[in-house]
Amino acid sequence: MKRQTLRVLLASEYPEARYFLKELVEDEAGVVVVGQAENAGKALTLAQNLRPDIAIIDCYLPYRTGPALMALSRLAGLDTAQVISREIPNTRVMLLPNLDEKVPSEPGLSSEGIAFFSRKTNGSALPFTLREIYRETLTPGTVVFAHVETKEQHVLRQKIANLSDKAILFGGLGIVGGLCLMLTVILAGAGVFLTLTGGVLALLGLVGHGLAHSGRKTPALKNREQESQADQLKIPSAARLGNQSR
Amino acid sequence: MKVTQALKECTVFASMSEEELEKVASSVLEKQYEPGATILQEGDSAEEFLVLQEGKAVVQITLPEMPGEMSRRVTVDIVSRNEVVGWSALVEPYLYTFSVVGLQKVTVLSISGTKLRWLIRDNLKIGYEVMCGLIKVIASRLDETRRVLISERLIMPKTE
Repeated sequence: MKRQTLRVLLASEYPEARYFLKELVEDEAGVVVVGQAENAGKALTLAQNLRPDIAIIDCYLPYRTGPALMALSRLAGLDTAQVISREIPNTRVMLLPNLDEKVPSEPGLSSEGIAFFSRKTNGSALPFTLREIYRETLTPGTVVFAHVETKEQHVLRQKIANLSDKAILFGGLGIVGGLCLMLTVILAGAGVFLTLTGGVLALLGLVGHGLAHSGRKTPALKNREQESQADQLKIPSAARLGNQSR
Repeated sequence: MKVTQALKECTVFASMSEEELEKVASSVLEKQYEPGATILQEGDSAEEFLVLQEGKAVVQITLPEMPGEMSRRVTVDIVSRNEVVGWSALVEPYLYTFSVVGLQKVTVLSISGTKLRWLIRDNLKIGYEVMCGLIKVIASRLDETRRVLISERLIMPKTE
């Protein structure tokens, strides 16, 4: 089955930015740029006439490129994107807030192979293709907020992410090791405490034993005590006998 | 980054002392918004004064419905790091006059409008500094709105 060709409209004030975007867009198989606009008015007219599948719009789009003396607003990117997405529901609209930072300053420098579109979710940039955006079901009025990323930047971000993963891993290992060490120290401390307590108790036992020994009566003393008890018992019985004879 | 340091980099709070910044920082919350999220809504009660820390956001006003034309929003400014939005939190009738929509993932420092007003009332020096910074912001936004009105109203073709 033949794949449908995606028709794209580009809108940016600067020719070098449009050139950069055209290279980037047509780098994807089956995607063709059908129109280019340098201001919001032209972008709206082209969108209404051409009905593109995707419109890619620079955030800093002027309403109209007028005489240099007239101070015109260059903030029409989101407004244009909102109008197109609301009025031409079949067109997917992508807004690029960072295009001004990504277009190479050297004229004629191609974006081919060095740049791609991405969406930022939870701090990480997820690359996507225009066909993926086209397949998404979007409600009318929805604008896709995307970024242009360059490969070096992506590689750098990946490296940072990998480094942070490693840092998390080693940090975790460090924490576990620290906890183990703490546990060992605590147990060692408990062991020392128990040993000391045992020693003190043994010492007390020895002292007690010693005292018990010193307080124990000898057999000779026992005999003497028994004899004196017997004498005490004998004296009252003799006195009783004497009273009876009287 | 320390909140006081972040506030110091913003024009409105730039000339404040460390002690004054500490007072403002005590009512600051950090918030994050996804791309496309409405950060402030035009007409809502202005309860927050925001300082952008990361990302870009657009300030928009809603054009009233005209015959044959739907109501729609027009961008009057794009704000980025260290710029402020939500000045209506300090000016009566405390209703936002603009909507703010995130273009990228946006991180803001949110300062309670009520607390900031109390702080200004109790400390005239802080009040003076804040108001001086605020006038610059309002003037710049007014200038940008004027440009939009020239460009948009006079030049932009009507859409069906």
